[in-house]
Amino acid sequence: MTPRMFVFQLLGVLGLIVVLGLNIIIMDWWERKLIGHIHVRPGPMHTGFHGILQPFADMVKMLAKEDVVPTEADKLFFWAGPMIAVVPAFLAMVVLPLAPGFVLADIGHGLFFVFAMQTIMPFGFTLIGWAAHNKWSLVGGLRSAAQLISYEIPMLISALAVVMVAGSARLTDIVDAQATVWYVFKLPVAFALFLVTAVAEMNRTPFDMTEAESELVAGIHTEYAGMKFGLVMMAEYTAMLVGSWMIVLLFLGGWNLWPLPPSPLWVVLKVYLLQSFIVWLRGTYPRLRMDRIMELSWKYLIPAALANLLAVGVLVIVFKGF
Amino acid sequence: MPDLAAVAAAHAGTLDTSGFDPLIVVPRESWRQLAGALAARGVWFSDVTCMDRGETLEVVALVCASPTEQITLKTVLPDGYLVVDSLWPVWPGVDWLEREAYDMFGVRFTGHPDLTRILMYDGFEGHPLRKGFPLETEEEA
Amino acid sequence: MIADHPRVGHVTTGGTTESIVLNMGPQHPSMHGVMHMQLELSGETVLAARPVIGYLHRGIEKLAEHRTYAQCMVLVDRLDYISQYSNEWAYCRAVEKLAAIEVAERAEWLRTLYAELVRITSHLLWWTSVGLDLGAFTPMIYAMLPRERIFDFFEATTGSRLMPNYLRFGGVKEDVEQAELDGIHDYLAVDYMKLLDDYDTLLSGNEIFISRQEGLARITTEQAVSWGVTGPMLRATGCPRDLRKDARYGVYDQLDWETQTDTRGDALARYTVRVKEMRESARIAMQCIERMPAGEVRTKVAKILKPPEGEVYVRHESTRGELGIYIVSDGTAKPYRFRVHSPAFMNVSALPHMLPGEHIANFFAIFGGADNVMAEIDR
Repeated sequence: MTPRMFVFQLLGVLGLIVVLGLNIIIMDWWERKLIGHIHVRPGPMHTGFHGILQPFADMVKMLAKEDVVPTEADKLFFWAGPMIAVVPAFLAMVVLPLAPGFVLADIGHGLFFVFAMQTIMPFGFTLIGWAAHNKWSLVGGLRSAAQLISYEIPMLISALAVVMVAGSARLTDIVDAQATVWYVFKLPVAFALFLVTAVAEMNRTPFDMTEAESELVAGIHTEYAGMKFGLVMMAEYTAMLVGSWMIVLLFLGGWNLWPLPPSPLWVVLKVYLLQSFIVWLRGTYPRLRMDRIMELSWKYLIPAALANLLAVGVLVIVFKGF
Repeated sequence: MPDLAAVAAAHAGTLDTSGFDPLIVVPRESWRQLAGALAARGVWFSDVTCMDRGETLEVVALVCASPTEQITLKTVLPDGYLVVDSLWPVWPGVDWLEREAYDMFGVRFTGHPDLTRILMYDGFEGHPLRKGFPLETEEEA
Repeated sequence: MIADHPRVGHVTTGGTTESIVLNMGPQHPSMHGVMHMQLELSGETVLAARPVIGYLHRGIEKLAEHRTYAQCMVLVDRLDYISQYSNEWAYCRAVEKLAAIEVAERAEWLRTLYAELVRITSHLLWWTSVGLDLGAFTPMIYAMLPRERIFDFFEATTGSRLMPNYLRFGGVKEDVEQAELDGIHDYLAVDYMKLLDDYDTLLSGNEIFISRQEGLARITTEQAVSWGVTGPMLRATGCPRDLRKDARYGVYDQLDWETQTDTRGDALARYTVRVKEMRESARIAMQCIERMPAGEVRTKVAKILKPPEGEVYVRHESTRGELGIYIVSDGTAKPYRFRVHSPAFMNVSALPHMLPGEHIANFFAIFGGADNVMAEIDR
C-alpha cells in the first residue's frame, strides 16, 4: 500500500463517519417531521426553523444525561453490546458505492461482505438485551436474535437471484447492469422479498420486535440511558441506511436514472425516498406478532425465495443474459 | 320471575315485597342453597356486597331474574361471627365481589377459592367500610 | 449457557424449563392505568394471570357515606372519568327512584344526548389504545381529534371537559342553547362520520390488525354471563343484552336504534361491536337533537335532600357495561351505604379465565378488549 493510497483511504473512512453522522442527523429530524405530519401534528417546532436543530438538541441531552448502569448488569457487555451492534453496520458501508469508482473498497464479493457484516448485528442486539439484567430486555434480545437470523436467509436467497442475472457479486457491476432496466422490473418477486426481509432486518415496524414497546416496555434498550442509548439508536439508523442503500443498489438502479445521466445524487435521493417509505410504514401498520413473524419467514418467504431463485435460474439459462 | 314466596319458604326465609325490589332474607345456613335454587330457575347475579348495621352485618346479593326484574337476597350475620358460605360454586363470577366484601367488611366466605384482600394491600389492618372505621385517622387529619 | 446463568431469572433443571413470573405494570408504558398483572410464563405462553388492583383506591364508597346526596355527584364523576355523564345519570336515577323525584322531560333528552356523546368519547379513547397496544401509533393521534372536538362541546355546556358535574336530581344543571345543539348535530352528521370511515380504512380493514385480533380469547355467552361480564364484551358473544333497550330509561324507547352485537366472541368481535356502537351512538345523539322538546330542564327538589328510609339498586348501561348503584338510605341527608358495582371490575375479573394459553404478545390485545378504567375498578 503506497502512502498516497493510505491517506486516500483514511480520508475515505473519515468521510464515511461524516456520512454516518449526517445520516443520523437528517433521519432523526426527518423521521420526526414525517411521522408527525402523518399523525396530523407538526413534530418538533421549537428548535430552529421547523425544529431543524432538534437532532443537536437530542445529542446534547443524551451527552448530558447520567450514564446509568444497572447494579446487576454485566458491565463489559452492557458497554460492548451497542458497539458490536453499531460497528458492523458501519463496516458494511465500506463496500457500498455511491458512484462508479466512488467506493472505499470495491471488492468482488461486496454483496456478501454486507451480509456477513449484517450477520454480526444480532450478536450485538442479543448481548444488549442480555447484559442489562432485565426480563424485558432479555426477551427483546432473544426475539431480535431469532428474527434477524430467520430473515437473513430469505434476504440472501433473494439477493442471489440478482447475482445470477448480473453475473457478479460486485456491487458496482450489479448497478452497471441496470443502466437501462432496473432489476425491480426484471425481478419483481425478488424485489418484494428483499424489501420485506430488509425491513425486518432493520427492526422497523411492522417487524420492530426488539422494541415492541406495548409488550416489552422498550425492549432491548429498556435499561440504556444517555449516549449508550444513542449508540443503540445509531446502530438502528445505520442499519436502516445500509438496508435502503442495498435495495437501491440491487434493485433500483443505483446511480442510474435512465434517460438522465448517472449521478451520485440519484443514489442519495432514492435512499432517502426509501427511508421515508419505511417511516411511512411505521405510521400505518400495527406490529406483527412474534410467532407470526417467524411463520412468515420460514413458511412463506424462504420457500418463495427458493422458488424464485429456481425460476430465475431457468430464465437465465433459457434466455441467455435475461 | 320465579315463585319467590315458595323459594323463600323452602329455605326458611322471609319474602318482603314492600320495597322497590322483592327482598328475601334467609338464615346463614341456607344462603348458598337459596342462591343455587334461584340459579336453577335462571337467575343470574349482578352484585354481592355487605352493609354494616352496627350489631349485625348484612350480606347482600343483588340478582336479576330478567333484565328488568331484580331480587335482593340478604342474610344477617352477628358482628362476632362473620362467616357465610361463598356463592362461588353457584356463580363463579362472584369471585372478586366476595374478595372485596372480605376486604372491606371482614366477612369470611367459606368455600371461596382465593379469599385475599383485593383493593387494600396485604398488610392492611381493619376493614374500611365498617362503620367503626374512621374516615381519617388523627395523623392524617 | 444463557439459560443456566443465575442472573437470568429462570434455571433449567434436568431438561425441563421452569416458568418465570413477569410483573406487568403498574409502571408499564402500555398498561391502561395503574394496573398490575402478574403473569406466569412458560417461554412466551401465559400459564396463569393474576390481576392485582387497588393502586387507585380512593375509598369513594366510604367518602360518600360522609357527604350529602348532592355532594356525592362530584364523587361519581371521578369513578369512571371517561364516561362521566353515564355515572352521573346512574346515580341520579338511583336517588330519583329512592326519593320519588320526577325528572323534567327536556332533561331526559339532554341526559340521553350527553350519555351517548360520552360513550363516543370513551370508545374513541379505547380505539386509540387498541391500535397503540398493537404497535400502531397513528390511530391514537387520529382518534384524539374528534374526542377533543366533543370535549369542546362539553366545555361549552358545562364549563368542564372531564368532570362536568352537570346532572342534578330532577334534571340537569342548565339548558343548552339551540345553536350549540345544532353545532353538535352538524359535527356528528358530517365530519365525525367521515372520520369513522377513515378509521375503518386505517385499522379495521388492516390485514395485520385483523390477523392479530381474530380468534383471540374466544368466549361464549354462557361463560361471559357466569363471569359477570357485561356491556360490549358480552354483546360480542352474540347476547343482545343492553339495558338501554331492556330497562327503557331515558328516552331510548322513543328513538330508532339497534343494539349492536357480534356472534364471534373473540377480540375482533369486541372491536367490531365497539366500532359499530360509535356509529350507533352518533345516530342516537343526532335523533335526540332533532326531536328534543322545549321546556324546563329541572324540577323543584329540596336543597338538602332527605330520601325516605329504604334501599334501591339501579343498573345502568354505562360505556363499559352494567353500572350498578346501590343506595341504602336511613332517612338522613347522607347515604347510609353507597355501593358502586363497576362493570370494568367484572370484565377485568374475567381476564384470568381468558388469558391462560395465549401468547404474551396477545396479552394487550385481550386486555384492551376489556376496556378497563382503573378509577372505576379501584373506586
